[in-house]
Amino acid sequence: MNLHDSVFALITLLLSPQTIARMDLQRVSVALLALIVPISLFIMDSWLWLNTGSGNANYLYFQCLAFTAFLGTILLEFVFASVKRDKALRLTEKNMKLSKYEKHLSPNTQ
Amino acid sequence: METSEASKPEHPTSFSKKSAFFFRYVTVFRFFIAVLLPITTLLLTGQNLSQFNHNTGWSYAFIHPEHTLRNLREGQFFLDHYKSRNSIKGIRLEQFQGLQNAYRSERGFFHLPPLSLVVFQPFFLLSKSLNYTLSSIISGDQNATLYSSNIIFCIQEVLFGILFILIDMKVAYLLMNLSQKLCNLRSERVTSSNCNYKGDFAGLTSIFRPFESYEREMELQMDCLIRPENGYLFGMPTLGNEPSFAQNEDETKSNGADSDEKKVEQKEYIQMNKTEASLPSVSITLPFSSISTCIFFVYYCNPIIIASSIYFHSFQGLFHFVYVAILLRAYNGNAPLAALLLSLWNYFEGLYPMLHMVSVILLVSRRHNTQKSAMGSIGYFCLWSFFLFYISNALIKDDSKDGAIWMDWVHPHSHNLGYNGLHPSLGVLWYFFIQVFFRFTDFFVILFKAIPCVFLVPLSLRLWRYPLELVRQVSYYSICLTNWLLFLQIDSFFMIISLYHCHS
Repeated sequence: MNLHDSVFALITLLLSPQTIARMDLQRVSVALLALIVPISLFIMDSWLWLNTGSGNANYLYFQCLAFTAFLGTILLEFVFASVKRDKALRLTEKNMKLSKYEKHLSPNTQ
Repeated sequence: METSEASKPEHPTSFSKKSAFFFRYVTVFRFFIAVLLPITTLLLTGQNLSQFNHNTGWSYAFIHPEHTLRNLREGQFFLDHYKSRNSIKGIRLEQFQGLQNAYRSERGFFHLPPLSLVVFQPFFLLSKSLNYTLSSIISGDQNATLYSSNIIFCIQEVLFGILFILIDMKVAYLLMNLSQKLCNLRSERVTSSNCNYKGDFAGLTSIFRPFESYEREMELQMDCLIRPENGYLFGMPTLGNEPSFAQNEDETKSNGADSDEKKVEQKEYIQMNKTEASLPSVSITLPFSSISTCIFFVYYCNPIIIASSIYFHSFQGLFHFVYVAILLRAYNGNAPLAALLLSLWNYFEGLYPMLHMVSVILLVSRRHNTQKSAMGSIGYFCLWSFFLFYISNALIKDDSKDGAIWMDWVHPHSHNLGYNGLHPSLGVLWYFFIQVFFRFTDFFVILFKAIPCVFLVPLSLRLWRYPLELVRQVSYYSICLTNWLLFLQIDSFFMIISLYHCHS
């Protein structure tokens, strides 16, 4: 996992605007902004561990964990939004079908 | 209303004046940096860029350390070394056998598949010829060389920087093209040959139409309770529009007193929501004229992608290109090309891209609506994969050493498949394999690799009608159990979901 790929992943989110519209943008914004913290600390901790020798691998691991958690938040939010979008479409189809069906039956009942 | 603006046909290369100016400005800036940065570094410090950016926290965070120009140079070293030793033989195929030591040794030196060197071979040759040309210009002697590896490396960095700019430009263009198809921003003649989607209401209208227009139509009829709150940002109908039950007032007339009460409640709700949420539906647009243009510029002008391409000289953009091209070809129903690109991706990245064959099959079969296309996709994929692995094996074949034939096929990919020599990255598996006892390593490697494949079979059998659910489950396992490829799986996950919405 690296920033180049993760940025590409986030950009591809824009390919489905109907889904983004259903995402909790506040939560996603917080997660996106929070990503900066583990990334910057990852870079600093790797310098501490591998260059100066005053850190260890655990420092890096917790930054990786935080990074994965924040990114997972965005991913899950996208999944929920996708499900909402699909559900909304199905409900609309169902509603339309019912109305057409009622329209079809109404002359017979009268 | 923004919906009408968003549905205007737009040619993929057409930018507004501001966007075109911005594109030219960024392109010039990128070329400027790509050319000047290596030269300036060489002149000021006498070193090349890769000596600065290798094995740093920045490189671990930004890129895959093995998908870099520096790693390619190591492979090229083995190739050149063997060439000079066997130049008398003059047999072209044997010239590549210098690579066999890189894969055959216990630890292995070169961790990319052999064909990666073949792909970039023209640029290494071009950098050498440019070095000869420069030396002949400087010294006046046609046979003279500068003999400085730093100068050759500088030339390579300039050439690769320019190449990666072009690749990024192409990826951004393909993303924009795909976005236009998905968002229905590009007009497309819909015939029974190029689109066979038939929605539930297609029977009423008796025409074939793409899912984009169908979904847009459904959004207009959608109940205000289930419309997205932020839809106005993307040109979708908002609460300001009349919802479906208000539009179908005539249809509900005959439903008696219950429906009247319901209607009154619904109208009250609509009025309440109109007063609260009608303000955003006026005109709020994205920074660029359309979403596809926005995607183009967000990718092309992204500082992280610019730094990865120009400063770190990472060729991950090439995999992004292959990835977007696979989805675009599969979306268009071009099974052979999609299978070729998928097999290429599978060859370079190993095993996990193969899981997306299911998605490609679903996309292609939905387009053509035949089982032959699905079988054809699998056939093409197997054919191309066999061809690639056969060439790869031929390049590094070593007749002098005994061993199982399949080992020759696996050796170039053993580093990638076996989680060997992991660098610290933003994933977590590198840390896991540090902590695990050596005797259990093979067990966890097999476990991590096999679980997505094991789950793929029952999920495919159960959810073959629902590619969204299928891909979601498989991608979840892939995301959890991969290391370097973690985000490529997430990309696929996002993209397949988008495509699902347009096809299902």
